[in-house]
Amino acid sequence: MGTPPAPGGAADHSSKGRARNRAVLAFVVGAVAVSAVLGASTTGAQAENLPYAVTTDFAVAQVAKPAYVSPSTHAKVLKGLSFFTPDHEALQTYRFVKSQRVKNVLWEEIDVPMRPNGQTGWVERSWLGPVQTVHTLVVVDIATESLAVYNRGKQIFTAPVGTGHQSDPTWPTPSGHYWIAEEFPSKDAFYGPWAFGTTDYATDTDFPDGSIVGIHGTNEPWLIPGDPSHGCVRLKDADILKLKTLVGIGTPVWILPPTSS
Amino acid sequence: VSTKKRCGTKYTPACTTPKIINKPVSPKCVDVGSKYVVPTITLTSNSGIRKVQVQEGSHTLKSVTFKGQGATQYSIKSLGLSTTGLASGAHSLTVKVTDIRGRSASKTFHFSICVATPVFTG
Repeated sequence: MGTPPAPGGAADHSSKGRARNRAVLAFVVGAVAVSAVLGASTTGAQAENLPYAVTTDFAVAQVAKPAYVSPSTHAKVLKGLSFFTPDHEALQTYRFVKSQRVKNVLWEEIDVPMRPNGQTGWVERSWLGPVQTVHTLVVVDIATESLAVYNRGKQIFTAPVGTGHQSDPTWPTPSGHYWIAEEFPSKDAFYGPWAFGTTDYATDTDFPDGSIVGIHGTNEPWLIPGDPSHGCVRLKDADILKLKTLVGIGTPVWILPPTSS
Repeated sequence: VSTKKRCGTKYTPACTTPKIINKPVSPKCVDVGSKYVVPTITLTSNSGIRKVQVQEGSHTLKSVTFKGQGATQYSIKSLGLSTTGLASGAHSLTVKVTDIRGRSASKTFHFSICVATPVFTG
């Protein structure tokens, strides 16, 4: 979540040695956004040179406990764990970053959806439910106004998208690492037939329910590809219905920053 | 029926509090009018389970009482809850297990009824 990791960052610290959404990628803003990805995941796909091979572990909260800034109940509280997303459209999921055992208690560092984007906190493992795992990844490339879906590192879908007004500081699509937090059929034509909510918080805070960046259909398909939105990622209706069959809650969403070229 | 104690004697392990273990919960919301299926929940007690109760608010979804020494393990599978009439948004249900010694444990499971039209930044 948040700003893409610096080169060489985000190592795999899983106690089981599994890649937990760490893909260990290095982002460099260059002329060709996709080729800017330098690193590789820590999965077996690394040897196959599949930079988008990502395994993500996540879980929901089981008890109302805080997330701390370090693995100790005496540390500063970052934020309380939530059972639900801000709009109560789904159970709030938390993505695992790394594990650490402290005084015989297993702690997990988790991505915490909140403002500003990109914050992590520590919780005791027992406060979260059973681990759920996904192998899919959504990559939104603002520079090329396109979206791609990868499964175990292999591209299985691409589509043009509309994103936020990059020239307007109020309505960009914030880049970084997020995940799908909710999904539902839309009854509002503006969102098309299906919508996903992400953990990406928009720059503009005036929208209800937390000003969440969504990925959804549209009733203005002629604006895609382009930058017509207030931060959301818009797809043509046929594409959002296809995307619905490929990904779900927990799937990471990487929003690549626009290139400077 | 054997009356031999399973725990807490010189020759048996110490009696422990009942445990509640569940399969992963789907984070996805449930449409109103459909059925919410509770994830498989396994209850264990080394002294023996006396009673199991599943409640959604004040409504009892399931209640099972064991006689005699009770069961050491019991699973709740495919328990469905009709969402007709439930308001959109946050809901929860609670599973409580009590053993033959009177010790109990409970766990709350949360689920969401789909909201009509959430608002994104668009």
